[in-house]
Formats: sequence, C-alpha cells, structure tokens
Amino acid sequence: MGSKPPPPPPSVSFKLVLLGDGRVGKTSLVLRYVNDVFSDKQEATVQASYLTKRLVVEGVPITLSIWDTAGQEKFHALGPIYYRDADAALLVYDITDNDTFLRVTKWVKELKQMANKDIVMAIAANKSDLVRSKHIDTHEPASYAESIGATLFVTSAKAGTGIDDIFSDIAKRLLEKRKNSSDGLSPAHPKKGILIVNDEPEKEPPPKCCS
Amino acid sequence: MKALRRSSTSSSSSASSSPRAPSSPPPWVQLRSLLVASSSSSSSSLAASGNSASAAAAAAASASFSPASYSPHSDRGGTKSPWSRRKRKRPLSCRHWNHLFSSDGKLRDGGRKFLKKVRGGGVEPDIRTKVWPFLLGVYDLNSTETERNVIKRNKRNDYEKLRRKCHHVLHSCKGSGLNVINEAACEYHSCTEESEPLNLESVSTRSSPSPKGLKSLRCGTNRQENATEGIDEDTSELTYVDPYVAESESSDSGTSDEEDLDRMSVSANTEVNHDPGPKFVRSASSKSDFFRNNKTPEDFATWQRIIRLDAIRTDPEWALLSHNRAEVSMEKALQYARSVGLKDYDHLEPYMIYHASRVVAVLEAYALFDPEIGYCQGMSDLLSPIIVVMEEDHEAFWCFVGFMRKARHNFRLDEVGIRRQLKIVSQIIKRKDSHLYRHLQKLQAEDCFFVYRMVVVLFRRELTFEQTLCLWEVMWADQAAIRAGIGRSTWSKIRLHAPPTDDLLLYAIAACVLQKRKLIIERYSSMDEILRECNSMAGQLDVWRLLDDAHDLVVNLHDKI
Repeated sequence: MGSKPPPPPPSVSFKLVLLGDGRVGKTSLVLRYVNDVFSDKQEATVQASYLTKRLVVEGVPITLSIWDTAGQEKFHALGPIYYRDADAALLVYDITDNDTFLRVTKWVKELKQMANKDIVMAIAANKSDLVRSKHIDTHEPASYAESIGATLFVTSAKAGTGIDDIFSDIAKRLLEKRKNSSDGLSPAHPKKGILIVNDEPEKEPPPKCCS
Repeated sequence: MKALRRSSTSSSSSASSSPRAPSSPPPWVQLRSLLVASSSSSSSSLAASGNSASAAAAAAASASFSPASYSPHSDRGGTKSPWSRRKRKRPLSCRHWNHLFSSDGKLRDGGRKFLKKVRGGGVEPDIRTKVWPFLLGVYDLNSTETERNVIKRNKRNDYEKLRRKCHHVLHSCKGSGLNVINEAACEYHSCTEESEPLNLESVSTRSSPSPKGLKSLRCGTNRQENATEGIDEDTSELTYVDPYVAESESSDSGTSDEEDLDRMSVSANTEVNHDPGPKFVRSASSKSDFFRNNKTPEDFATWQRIIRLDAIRTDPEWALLSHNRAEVSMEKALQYARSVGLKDYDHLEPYMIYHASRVVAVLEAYALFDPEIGYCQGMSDLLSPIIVVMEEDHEAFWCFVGFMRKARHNFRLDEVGIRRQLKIVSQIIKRKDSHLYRHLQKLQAEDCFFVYRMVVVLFRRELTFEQTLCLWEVMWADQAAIRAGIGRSTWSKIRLHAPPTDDLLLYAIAACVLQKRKLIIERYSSMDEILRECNSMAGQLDVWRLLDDAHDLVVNLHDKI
C-alpha cells in the first residue's frame, strides 16, 4: 500500500517455450494461464502458436512470450527454432502416461546440448484431474526434476490447478537469474549463454514495453 | 502483367490506385466478412476478441489494399456476391454433372469440361459424394460405369481387409499383435503394387490385383480368419522378413529419430522394389531380432493412441455438417465406438461419437497402408471433411488416400516436403513483390516459416468448412488435370488463363501473404508478429478472392518458379 515506486521499473521480457509429447496438454495449459479457458476439444497444434502474458513479480513487470509447440514426435525437428533463444522451457507430460515423461527426459537432454546453457526449466505433470486417488506419486519425476535443476509442479489445465504457480515460479527464477547475471547492467541486456547456433547475436532487442 | 504492376505500385500509393478499380467493394464489405467469420467459428472469435484492435487493423489494411490487387482478368461476370469482389463461377451442379457422361457412364472428352468447371467454381454440396472420387483419382477420368463398379468392389474389400488387421491388432495383446501390423503393411504393399503411396498414379485404373497379389491377399484373409476364430492363438510366428531389412539393419541405433529414419528407409525399400515378394517365414527365432530391428510396431501403437485422442477432439462444427447426423442413434454410435476401441467419449453427442469412430477407423487403416507416414497430427484435419462428405468409410478411405498422394509429404519426418513448399512460397513472394520480400529478409523471415500451418493442413484451420472444401476442390481439379495430362494448350483454348498447377495451394498461400503486405511492411518488425497474424487469420479470408489472386500469380509466374 505504502510507497508508489516513482519511476515504474522497466518491463522485462522473457521467451518461454513449451515442449512435450503430443496431447499432454501444452496448449490447454497456456490457454488456461493466459485466457483462463479450457476446451475438451482443443485441436492438435500443428505448428506453434504464440501468446503473451504480462505479470508482475516482486514489483517488476514481466512480459512472457510463450511459444506453444506441436508435440508429436514428427514435429520434433521444429523444436530448435523455438527453444534456440528461449530463456525458459516448460516441459509438460501427462501424469497418466509414463511414456510422455520419457519424452520429457529426451527434451531435457536435447536442451542441455542445444539451448541456452542457463535455460530455466520447469516440469508440469499435467492432467492431475484424471488421477482418482488423492495421493499422487511424483517421487521419481520430482527427483529427476531436482537432478536437472528444474522444479516439478502437478497441474491440471482442466481444473485450473497448479498453473499460476508454475508460471510464476518460472518468472521468479528468470528474474533472479537476470539480476544475478546482469547486476550493474540494465535488464535490457541479458547475458546469454553461449549459443551453439549463433547466427543472430543481435536477435533479442531490448525488451519492448508493450504496455 | 497489369496486376503485377499495380500491386507493386500499391505500397506507395494505395489510395490513388482505387479510382482505377471502380468495382472494388466498399470497406463495409470487408467488415462484414469479418463479422461473418467471427460468428462462424469459436476459435476465430476468441482470437478476434483477444486481439480485436489488430484484427480491425488487419481488416482496414486489407480493405485499403484490395483495390490495388484488383485485376481485370478475374472479373468474370455474374451475380455479385456481397462479400467477394469476384463472383464465383457457378459450381458444378447435379444436372450438369449428369450431362457430362456418355451412355456407358464415361466422362466425355476425357473429363476436360468437368475439370474446367470445377476449377472455376467447385462442386455443389449435394453431388460431392459422387464427384470427389473422380477428383481424387479413386476413379479414372476415362473409366466406364462398369469398370468403376469393379474398382469400387475391390477397393471396398481391400479396405475391409485393412480394417480387420486393425481390429486384430487392437484386440490382441501387445507383442503378438505387432507382427500383424508389419505383415499387413508389407503384404498390403505387395498385393496392391500400384496403389501404394509412393506410386499412386493409377490407383484408379487398376481393376484387379495381380495374380501374385491375389495369392497373398487370400493367404492374408485365411490367416485372418484363423486368427479371429481364436484371438488368443499366437499368430506371431508368421512374420514377414524383408530381405533388405535383414541385410541392412544389423546394428541398433540410439535415438528414436534414427530409428524412425531406419523405418522409413525400410518401407521405402519395400515400396520401391516390387519384385521380392513378401516371404512369410515360420520361425520363432527371428521374432526377437525383428522386434529389435524394426520399430514399426511401437510406432503403430503410438499412432493408435494419438489417433484416438485426436479423434474425439475434432471440431464439432464439422461433424454437425454431416448429412446423416440425425440418423445416428446412440446405440449405433456406441457400437461403432466400441468396435474401434474409442475411449473417453462419454461427454459427446451420438453423431460426434460416430464421427470420431469413423475418423479412428480410417486413420488407423491409413497408418497400416502407408507405414512410412503412419499417423501425424494434422492428418485428422485433412480427413475430417472427407468423412463428412463421404458416407461410406471405404470410400472416405480411398478418397483420403488420393488426397494424401500429395499431402503425405507434409508429414514426412525429414520435413523435405514442407521445406520444398515453403521455398516455393518464398520464391513466389520474391518474384511478385520484392519490397515485401526485402522486408521479410530484414526480419529473417524470408523462409516463410510463418505459413507452415497453412501448408501442413492446407488452409483447413484458416478457412470455414465450406470455403475449405471449395479451395480443395479447385486444387484437386488442377492436380487431376495434371495427372490426366491435360496440358497448358488445352486450357488456353478454353480461355482459362491459368494453366493447372500441382502447387495451386502454394500460390494461394503466397496470395494470402501478399494480401497482408501493407500490414506486414508497416506494422510488423519480427517473424513472431507475422506468425501471430497468420495464426489469427481464421475466418478472415475470402476463398474466391484468394483463388483469383492465386490464379493471377500462376498466370504471371508459373514458368518462372
């Protein structure tokens, strides 16, 4: 309530990419988060779609550019286009289908090799509404997440649970990382990890304040 | 030429060019099309409401641009549609269709008149069921009615065999069922030599399978009957061993991508080489090797799973358009759903369950038929309209096979097909509008990656149901003309300027981008923004204007691309 910060802090933008097997609910997670809607009949994403969400974390306005990708393995080759200069990756799997978790581990391997070295990762165990028992065993995925420096959240796009948490966790960690890596520098120039494919060093413009 | 000149000047003076086009539609026309669009599809209204400012801007931009892209070539008289500057030529009517046939049920003049008509205006809805098999090459344009009846019967049998295999796989436990897939795929490919995916040119003309094929078909049927008598009976000993697989696949490779590539090369081998017929080897020992080396089984199981998930999430508006939806009783729907192993459909209406079951049946059969492609998300987008139009599953299947003859390249793992097409779109834009192209280069977007979705699902997500069908029909007619060898000279005689092209879709996509040139040049400074624009085009497009522009591009550029 107290003091209004005289100059509003500059908005920071981050690029977030969603990865995961087909039909695990990537689009539904994003749509629930950005528009608070859910559809049983969400059509398959065949390319990628792009949405933005603004939020404020610790007084800092943040713009998340969210890239929602096509999940099916056939579209795997498209991945690099989206994660190449991403600041964060949200890896999604279907809590009722272990194969989709394996796909997450594959993506993680690839990200470690190909993406920003310091990419922030989080894992969503989605479709928790389909699990009948109250106790959801996420022991193994959680320890896996820990081992790769990610956080695991149990989510349900249908019920709308866990979703704000996971995105704001990502945003917080992104902000923290940027503060640490660029203290002294303006947030406009994030330090990027070494890109394997470094064909566009000036690709990321200073974050435009869209508001 | 005129069109080319005009639109290249339009960026500098779009306002001054409008007096030259007195018949261009007033701005309200554009607004109206926007309204129609947003009420017709929930997704587009969502996009519009989320982004109404930019949608309005887009409409305004296209309104101001349309006079410039107006071309006198394409104004072919007739009643004026309120939301199209062009008047669509009349679609092929039932009466006209019937008149096209001679007494033995053969299309006169090799189908030239027929294709010309469809290229100009599409097909009336009530005769689509009859016409599509011709457009999609299920029936040859020169076939007689008697020949078609034979083809139809054979194809029905072929489809039913594929379905029995699917059924068998679904109901047998993992492992033993998997061999059946490979058998089915290989066997199928050997017995319908010419109707296999890589060489579909004469799907229609073949009225009976070759003797060799017949033999293996029979063999397949017998075994199938045995298997269904006792489902637990282990049929897995009968495995198809491809000589090429045995030779080439000695080492296990790591990632699934590589495995998939292996699989592709395997099926390419079986497709290209007809000669070595399938060998059915009775041996238990080969089984484990087979599993280790050939990853098709896992893939098929995956496909089965994804197909079922996708089927129940088809846009209900599409199923609503089925003719027979009122006739679908809950009982019938449930029965079908059970037979194809549909899941999680409790929340759906009977006609939706029925529709979803049909989608599953046909896609699964296709995955067996064309294991190199199998199933990929996006294919259900292409099948849904066919399911709605073709009431018999086997007819829908063969029409889909005809459609996929070209579209299958969109779903290849190596993306060669997509990249080729994106490149052509890029070249069209480059030739037509160097200003726009330079802007795209500046944004590193000249690879036209932002139209990826339009290429993959052929405008299905951008156009309404009816518009999609019109576009596809015109496109199919072009392809059918090329298949039938109806060349350019023929069309110039009948004064349809644009010669048929295999790539009409790509010209339409380029036209669609060109329609937004002003917006792209003036407002967009990143590929992301263009992609977002492309993703929110749903319902904003006028298919006949698109086709007019596309045809103009074809006239000007077909020999340069």
